[in-house]
Amino acid sequence: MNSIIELNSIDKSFLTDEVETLALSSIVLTINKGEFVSITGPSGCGKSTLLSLLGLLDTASQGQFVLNGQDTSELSKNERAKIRNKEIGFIFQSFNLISDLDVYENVELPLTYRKDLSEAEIKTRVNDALAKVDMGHRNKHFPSQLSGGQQQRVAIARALAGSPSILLADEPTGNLDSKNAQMVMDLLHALHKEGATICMVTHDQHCADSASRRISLFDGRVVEDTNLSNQAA
Amino acid sequence: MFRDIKYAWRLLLKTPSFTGITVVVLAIGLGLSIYMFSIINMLAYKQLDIPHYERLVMVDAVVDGMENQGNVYAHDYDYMKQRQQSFAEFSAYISISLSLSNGKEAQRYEGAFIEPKAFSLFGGHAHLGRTFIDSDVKKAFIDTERNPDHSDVVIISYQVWQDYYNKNKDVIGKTVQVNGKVHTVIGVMNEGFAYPRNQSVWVPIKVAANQKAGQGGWQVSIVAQLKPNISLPAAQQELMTYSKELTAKYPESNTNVSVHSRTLVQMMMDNSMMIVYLLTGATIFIMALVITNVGNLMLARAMERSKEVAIRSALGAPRSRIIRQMLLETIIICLIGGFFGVILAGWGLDITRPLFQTFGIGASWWTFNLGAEELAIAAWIIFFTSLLTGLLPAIKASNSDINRTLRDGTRGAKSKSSAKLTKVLVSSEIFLSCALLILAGVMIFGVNDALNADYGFKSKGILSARFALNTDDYKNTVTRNLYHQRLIQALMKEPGIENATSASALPGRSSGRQSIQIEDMANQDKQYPRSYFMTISKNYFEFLGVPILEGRAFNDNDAIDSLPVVIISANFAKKFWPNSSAIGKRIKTEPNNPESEWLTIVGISKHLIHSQPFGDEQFRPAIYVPNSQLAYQYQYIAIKTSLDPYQLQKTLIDTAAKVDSNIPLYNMFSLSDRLEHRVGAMVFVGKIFIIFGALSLILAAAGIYGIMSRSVTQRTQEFGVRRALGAIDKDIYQLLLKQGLTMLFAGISVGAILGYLAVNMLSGVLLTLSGYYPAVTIAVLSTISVTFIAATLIPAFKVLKLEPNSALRYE
Repeated sequence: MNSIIELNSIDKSFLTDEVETLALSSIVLTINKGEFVSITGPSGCGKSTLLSLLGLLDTASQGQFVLNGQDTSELSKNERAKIRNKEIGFIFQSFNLISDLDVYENVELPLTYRKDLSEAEIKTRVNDALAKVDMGHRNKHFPSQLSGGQQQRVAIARALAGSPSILLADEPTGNLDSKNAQMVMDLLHALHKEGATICMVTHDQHCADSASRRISLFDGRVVEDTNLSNQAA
Repeated sequence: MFRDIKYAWRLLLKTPSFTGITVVVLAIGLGLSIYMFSIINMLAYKQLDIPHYERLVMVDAVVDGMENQGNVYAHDYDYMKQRQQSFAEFSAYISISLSLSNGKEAQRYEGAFIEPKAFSLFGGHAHLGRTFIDSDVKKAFIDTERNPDHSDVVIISYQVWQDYYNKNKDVIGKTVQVNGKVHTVIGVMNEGFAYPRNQSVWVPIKVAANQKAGQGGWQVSIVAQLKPNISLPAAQQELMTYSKELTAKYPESNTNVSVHSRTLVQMMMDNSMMIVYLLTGATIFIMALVITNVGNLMLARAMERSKEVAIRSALGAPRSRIIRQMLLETIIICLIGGFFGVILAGWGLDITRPLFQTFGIGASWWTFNLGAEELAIAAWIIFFTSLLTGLLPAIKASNSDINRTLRDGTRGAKSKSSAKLTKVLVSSEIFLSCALLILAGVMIFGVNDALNADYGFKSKGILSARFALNTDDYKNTVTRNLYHQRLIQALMKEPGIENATSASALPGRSSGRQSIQIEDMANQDKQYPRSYFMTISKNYFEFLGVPILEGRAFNDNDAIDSLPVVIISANFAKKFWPNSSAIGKRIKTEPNNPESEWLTIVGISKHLIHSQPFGDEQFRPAIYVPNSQLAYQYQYIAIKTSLDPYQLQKTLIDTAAKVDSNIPLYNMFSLSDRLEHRVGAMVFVGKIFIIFGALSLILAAAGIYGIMSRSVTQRTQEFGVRRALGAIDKDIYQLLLKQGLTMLFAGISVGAILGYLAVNMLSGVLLTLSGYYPAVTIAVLSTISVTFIAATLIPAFKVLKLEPNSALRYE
């Protein structure tokens, strides 16, 4: 079994002002280990909602979500938090670094929620992650002292530090200029080459096309699922 | 400007719950502050309508560290008067109760023997007739004279003229007996004139020059007027020089005796200025809590409006205009809160007035009204509150980065300065409420102790009244004692009365203190020991149910011409004869007077508290001599019954009138009430502190909850990030508690220290408090900690109910 994510008939609806809006409808999707999947589509098509479900940041209204062979539908809040911590690395559009913590502490943060790591292990992992994104020299800086591109690299380091099964990136270049955006994309590709599984939401066509597989959404449904690995190669 | 006011008003109406809560908090806080500052002003700083009031100084004695009204030896007054350079006038008076009798009806009033110069310093004018002139006094008095009154004129107050003379316009020239001596009414003072404190009958006197030192006898109060360029501290320093000279010259009478100069208003507070400082401190604390709370509400509101402010700035509004606009909103809220606050304060003063009237304490200017002075105080309090609560939020909101606010792309935790402000606000709320609650807590226990103090006897079922034997019929001990015995016997025959006695003082009521010389015992401190001194009827101890521990009580054999005897209290005996019996030893109450007789100790009584039931006072020793050997003019009569003592008021008055219709009974209270009045001021302060304590807890709880819930809500996104990274609920609670504990510990440590200092300052002076500090502190700190933890976790619980996804997108 090579799949990391399996979605079976997933629905997600929101209730606003007593009107039910269906954000995702009958999503069936499998993501395999080592894939770099881009999810794309117009605004409001449900891509971010899908990513939230994949990241266990929200629960589906209906359907089954199996992550690494485990059905997540019946998990408690805390069990979901533990899975997020171990299996998933998040990269957000707005970086979401904590401004009161310095670079090192931000990267260390997910590891501090684990009980099974020693101080020395944590240190090695943080330093390795920072080295991967080439931010080791800035570990005492605070987020406000960094450029957008640097902040996103720190966020990627934070996502990598826990050695997750999958990286979920929500518009990782959305807040960056083209130069920094390219740098971040290069970094993701490099990680993919090293074996990381990545799932990225983007409405930037160029970024979407650079992935190994592109899924297009429209009105909460998958309308296209294209394997790009040959093109990318 | 009008446009701004209209806009501010519209915004307030748009958020009725915010406006309502803020107005309620302000009304309570401002109401309490206006009420308290009105009382503090009345107690200590009121501007009296006296010409050159700012230069009027009251000089009284400080004996053994206690500031008293009066108590300056006539000799010492004369000594200082002849030397002093600081005062334009330096004159004396004696506060005394005076009875007016027209032969048919006798009434007793607070009065004063007063030097004409002293009287004129209070600046009243005669409504009818005239005020005093020097020649009204026929002869100066020396302090050992029994009666200092050598005049035949009297001035009465407007009130006496109204009540006793039914506003008779022909009162001037009428004769009336004042303390049994015929006087002519020469004046009726203007309405409201009741100086020095609440007098209504004045008789002129003159203190003789060149009195003998150390005689005891009459003591005086001094009223003086500073020379225009002399300050009060400088004048006090000059008087202290003379006081030291007197101590050096007359150590036996003047050791530990000095003088104290203060304003007329402050004189009323005696040793209790500490209460004023304490109430001031507590009120400022409450105000600080209110300002912190309202300031925080306003800050939250200002922050919510930061986008609007940014748009205004982008459109070119100057910063001052934005600050003004935001301040206007605060001013409107404060004015509404202040309006209700003034109403609350007025109501508070209304219900306080009768409280003080029942205590029977106070000065004529203790009116408990919201006058012009109090309303001015209220205006200042409202002004400062609006400034303090409005300015900081307005400046902060108008100072934010317009560009950043408009782009509104900020993420992550809240800013450092905002976090720091939260810490400061929360720690302040905690320490303010901690200190207040500790003080309130120990005060409640202290007052309770004072109310339930064991004076050494049972006060239940005892009714007491005062009388004065100052007519020509009672010139000596024999005649006075005869009156006592006749009154006691007549009362014992009345149904319902089980026992009756007379004494110069009853327990719990201060009696005079005398210097005591002990035969064959050298003075250790150069100074004679002082002891409470009472003259009593022979059944005094039996009446009170107080045992004689050694020797005997007084009996019929203790007559005017038999051996002069004395009973001493157990702690007097223990102090001077710790290892032997005091029975048979001899003491003397007028040490410097070679003619005064030695008194032989025949009995030792169980200790009774003759003064306040706290501090050092409660342990002061007492000595008792029989009325049959020495009887003063002023006495208490007391009866014992198993009924409600007040049911026997009429019996007591009628029986006394049957014995002698010229001797009116006055100041009639059950002994239990007297003891309660004794600590009446304390009970009042205690009640105030219960209100303070409850209010500070509510304000602090509401304030801390408000601040913490805002702070937690502001961090919703941050918690979203942490949860996305794998934090479980427990991790977030732990994080919040860890960060909160710093604030909590900072707050409670400062609060506990401040509370300790305040309790220490008060303990012994007003009540015995220190013993309660540890338990109360533990209770207060636990309450505050629980409140704080709840205020931290409840908002967090709400935030954690959101899915991490919603938390991440929370705006």
